[in-house]
Amino acid sequence: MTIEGARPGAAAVSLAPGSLLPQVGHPVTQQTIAAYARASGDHNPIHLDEDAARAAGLPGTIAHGMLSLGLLTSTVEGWVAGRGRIARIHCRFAGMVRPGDILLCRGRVGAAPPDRGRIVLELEAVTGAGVRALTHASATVELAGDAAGANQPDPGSGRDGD
Amino acid sequence: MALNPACVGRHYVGALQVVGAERARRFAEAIGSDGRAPGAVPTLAATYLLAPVVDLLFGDDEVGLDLARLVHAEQTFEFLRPPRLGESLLPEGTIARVETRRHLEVLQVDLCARDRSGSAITRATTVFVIRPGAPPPPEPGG
Repeated sequence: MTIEGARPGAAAVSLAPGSLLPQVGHPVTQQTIAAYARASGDHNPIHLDEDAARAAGLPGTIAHGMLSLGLLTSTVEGWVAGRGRIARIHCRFAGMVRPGDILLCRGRVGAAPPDRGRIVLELEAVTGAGVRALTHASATVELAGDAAGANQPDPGSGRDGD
Repeated sequence: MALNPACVGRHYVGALQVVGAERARRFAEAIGSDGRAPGAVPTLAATYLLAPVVDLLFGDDEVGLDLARLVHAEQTFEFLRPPRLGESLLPEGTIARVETRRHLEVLQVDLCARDRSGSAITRATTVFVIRPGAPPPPEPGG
């Protein structure tokens, strides 16, 4: 379902402090939303029923915020690619994601060197139309033994977007 | 309807949740996980922790939630260890904060999933915001 950006895990993404993480786009369709409703048990009609969503004052059905957070979390797992595990993830649900949108997940490894084998990824998810869906997002990744030792600052990495 | 500040400290214990392999697989597929990581994806916690506690919270009339105006505003998960497939977990949550900021009411719930030994394996903080309702109709002649 990932359609654009570097495919997470296709090549080792640098987790060195300051590294930019490759953007990954996830198409969100009404089918995606329905599948998440079935898997999560959240059948709130604002996600599934166009009329009910409009009656609630929305422009139409919207994706579950937790679906967006799930997609962002999957993206992080792809970037980390077995070199550690997500110990913490946080976000604010700032904007609506609607069927037909593409959720673009972006991130950067925090500038601080690993603290006790942990790195912090600064994250965001925006729609292709520019709606900031998830803001103030971050993930703390606990690096596995080898990755923690190897994860020293890379002088040639990241910060291109500054 | 307004949030009842006296509900701070109210505690909810959900039904025991089994982290089944099929449940984990379906959820992983729904969020685009490629299945590379073994076991349950982290945000499966939405099903074994968040949903059972929130269902109890939403059914508690004394809290004063207006579900039609409720927005999930913020979410944090802390994963102390991944759940094992087949493991049973007990979800619980406590209303930690009720406050009014400008026109918004804010409710925070702190959650925890415990294994059979009582050890916490996942903690979470969920913040809901209640949007302002429509203004009351003007007084006749006013």
